[in-house]
Amino acid sequence: MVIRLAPLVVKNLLRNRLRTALTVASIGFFLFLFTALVSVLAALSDATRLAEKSLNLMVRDRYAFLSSMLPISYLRKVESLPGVRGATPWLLFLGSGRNEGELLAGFGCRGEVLRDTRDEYRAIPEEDWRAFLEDRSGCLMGREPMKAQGWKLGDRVTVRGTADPVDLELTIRGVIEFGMAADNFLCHYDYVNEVTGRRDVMNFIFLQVEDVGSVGSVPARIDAMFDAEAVKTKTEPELAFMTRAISLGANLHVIIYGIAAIVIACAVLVTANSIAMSARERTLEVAVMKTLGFRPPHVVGLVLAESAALSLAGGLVGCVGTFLAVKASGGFSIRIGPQSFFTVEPATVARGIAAAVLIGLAAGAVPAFVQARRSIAATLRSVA
Amino acid sequence: MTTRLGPPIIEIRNLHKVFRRDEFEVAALEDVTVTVPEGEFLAIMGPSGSGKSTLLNIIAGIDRATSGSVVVAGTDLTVLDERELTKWRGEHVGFVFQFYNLIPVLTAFENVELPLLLTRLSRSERRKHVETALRVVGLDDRMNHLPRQLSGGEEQRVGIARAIVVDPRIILADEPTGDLDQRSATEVLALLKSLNEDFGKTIVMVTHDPRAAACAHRLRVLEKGGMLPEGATLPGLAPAAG
Amino acid sequence: MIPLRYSVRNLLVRKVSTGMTVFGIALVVTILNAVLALASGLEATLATAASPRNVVVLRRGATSAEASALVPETASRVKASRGVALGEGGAPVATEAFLTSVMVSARDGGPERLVIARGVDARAVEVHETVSFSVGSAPRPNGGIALGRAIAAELGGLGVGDSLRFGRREWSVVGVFEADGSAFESEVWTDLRDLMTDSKREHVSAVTFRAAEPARVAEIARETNEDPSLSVKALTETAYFAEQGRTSAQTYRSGMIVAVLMAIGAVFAGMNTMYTAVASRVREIATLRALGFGGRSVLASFVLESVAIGAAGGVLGAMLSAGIFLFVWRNVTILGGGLRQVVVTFRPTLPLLLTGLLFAAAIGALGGLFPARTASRLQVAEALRRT
Repeated sequence: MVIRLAPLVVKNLLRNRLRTALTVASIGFFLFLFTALVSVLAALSDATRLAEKSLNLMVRDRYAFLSSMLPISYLRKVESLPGVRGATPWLLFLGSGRNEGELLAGFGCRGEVLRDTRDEYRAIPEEDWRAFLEDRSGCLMGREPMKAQGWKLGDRVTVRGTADPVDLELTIRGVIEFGMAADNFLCHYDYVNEVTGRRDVMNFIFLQVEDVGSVGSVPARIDAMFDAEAVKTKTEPELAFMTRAISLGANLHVIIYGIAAIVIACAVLVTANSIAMSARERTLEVAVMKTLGFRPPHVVGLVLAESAALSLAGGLVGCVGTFLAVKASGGFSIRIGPQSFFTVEPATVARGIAAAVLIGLAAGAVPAFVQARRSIAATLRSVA
Repeated sequence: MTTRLGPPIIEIRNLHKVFRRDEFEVAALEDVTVTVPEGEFLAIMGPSGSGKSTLLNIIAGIDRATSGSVVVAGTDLTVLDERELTKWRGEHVGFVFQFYNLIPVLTAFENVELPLLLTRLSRSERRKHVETALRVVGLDDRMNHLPRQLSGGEEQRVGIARAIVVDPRIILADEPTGDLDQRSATEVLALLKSLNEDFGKTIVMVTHDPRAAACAHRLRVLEKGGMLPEGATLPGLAPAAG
Repeated sequence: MIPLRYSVRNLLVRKVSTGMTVFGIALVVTILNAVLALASGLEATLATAASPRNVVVLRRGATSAEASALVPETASRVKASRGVALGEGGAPVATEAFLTSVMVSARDGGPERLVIARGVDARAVEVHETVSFSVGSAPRPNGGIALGRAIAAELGGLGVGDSLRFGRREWSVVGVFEADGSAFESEVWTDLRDLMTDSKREHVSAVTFRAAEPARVAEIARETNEDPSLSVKALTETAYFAEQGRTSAQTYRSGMIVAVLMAIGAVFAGMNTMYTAVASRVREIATLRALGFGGRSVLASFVLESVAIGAAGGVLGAMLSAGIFLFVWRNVTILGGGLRQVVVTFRPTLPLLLTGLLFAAAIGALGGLFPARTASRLQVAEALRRT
């Protein structure tokens, strides 16, 4: 029955092509927004999901977050734990480049650990790594700052400290194309520590464990190790930390859900309006159809089908639009951990389409029932 | 009854009107020539599709001739552009439609006032004209009713009031009684006759109601776009009163 | 020239359709108002913190006080410089501060918040004029901290006598201060030495002083900035906080993009409604044209009708926004101006609501433009014949 009525639904929609087009366009915009918003949320929650598979952990001061400060002595103890493949200190150095006001941030670390544990650093050629590891004041500079400052491989550059009242003199030994530090630079922890006055502290420890099993057990062991110390630690998956860092910027979830709800409400209104307008123009037809034998359930079905078809079309337009927009903008990324690319997952598109269909059904419900229950005689009388 | 007729106020010569319907060309009017002296009440009859309404529209300046000459109230309508035609129409012609065509959301008063809004008259002056017009058609007690609160006959009378409120010399009526019952039709026709005899308005009325045609001075018949010679008529249509 | 009441009354004919369109536009306007309120709220919160007579001195090249370090000699030299006002006993009205961001958790165990901890010296309250202690006293050495009113509330209503844990130790609340609703109220103030020790730093972040000649505060800032013996970055406190507000630009931009996209969707919906209105009134339009109303009058009439729908949506949206912001959702904590979470109050001011109204009217106008054009281009004879 539904299949047989389908051509009628399509014909009805094509009757007023302008109206159908405008409604589809309108819904398309709203669902484009919806898909984008849901994608952002998905990216954030995916990151946390991904974290479960990642072997990368980080250690910070339990009672601090971005301003975490740990004694360097902790590093050796963490390194020597069974199950830990490699650990590097991480000391932030904030400075500026040639022009004041241009922020340039870098990290003092143990280069070889990064090379051995993270894929994104293996892209750097062997000779560059060697040059860096042999040069105490060498650094690996991110592609972005190099472009902005006009520096080349091999240059000896000065990074003027702002948070620390000293300057770093570095020789660029390699270029970081992508990854966590592509906007920054990496240099040797020992060098930074010395220049900033041997405070023997680090902000974080980044470590990698041997296997997935260790991800569960190692954090507890590390934190237990320092529980009696003045500075207690919190060890957690790296991506969990990054995600928290992003969401500190406002109650993102609540805001996004709120906007998404409003977007859906608007889409329902638009569809309902369109269906109501069409319905008004076709009351006579519906009455005639009823005289031919169409019963209320048929009428309801027809209206709902038309409504759902409209919103589905709009949903497709919106979702496809999001897809194309993301592709066109080069898949812009949210910097959480090692480059998490913001793509529109099939799951999100499915969610968008499902939302579209629900919108259609919700929007068409009232007009459908009103039409179904109108008495034939009343309709014929009113039109005459 | 002899009404004093003046010089020609409507002069149509060799009028052709061709319509484009997709790829087809339809000749609505073919070589129509007719002259109407001022003060005459002319009825135009003919079967549906004969071009009656088209002729009326062209006289009113609502439509344009494809070729031929159209001189109304001393003005050659074929040389005026859209804007000028609109302005001319507002001053010289009162149009009465078959389906009254009142604006549903405006009261009787406001509907009649509409044409006056295009003039420079002040509010109080407009009010005077509207009240006069409504009084002439006998509806001054229903001024603030909405169209849906009026009967068919009353609606048409409001339509007539609207047509005469600018005091035009010519009234064009397209099937004014087509949608009315017997009694209302009679009232409306009486009104039109009065406007012609008492106020000297020239009236051209398109109708297919023989009784309506009987109110007129003269009858011309259109058939398939062509105007039959004077005096000639089609079977089924009554001859005009003398 | 077509009377206004024609447009307005026609709106009331199709109540359901008009109503839905109005409501849809109202929702879009609410979002816009939220974005604007947030942006202006953040701006206001930061701006109120500034005293127009003050100059802020940071390390050369620093973008915010949280990421700036001044060596003790520089700090002293700044305080002794010419532009600094002198107070009682000839002492400079200047204060040193050390800023760091810390994580604190609410008393009832809610989510952790990122807060600016400001280590201050004895002159801080004097220099930062907007700050006044409603309860208790200024921070004291050995762990006595003062909380800004907003952060005290956010953390579960902390007061004098409560303790708070951050950094390396427990701290004890000795006072709660107000600061005109400004960003300071989201800060935790401690004793300067305490905080520096806890963070293992020997440098201060910034020096803030009152200009000797208030009328010349901008010039004094510039002179300090250009002083070769100091080598610092100096700007008026007003300019400093204005700069901090700019980092919220990205949030603002995303919000505006959302609002604009929704507006476009609403324009299409409005177009739909108007096209239907035009289609159902073909005979009326033809009559008006026949009566002598030109194409432009018809165009204006329909655009006006559409603008009226938009405006109605704007008014409804304004009421919704005001209602939500005043009663349901007053504050939001956002990351603004560097590494701080600021409690921003949504302020539904009149100019803001009017902006929303204009936005809505614009949506109406755009939505009605094309249908109105169709109406104005109606061929009279054709239309009359068709009906």
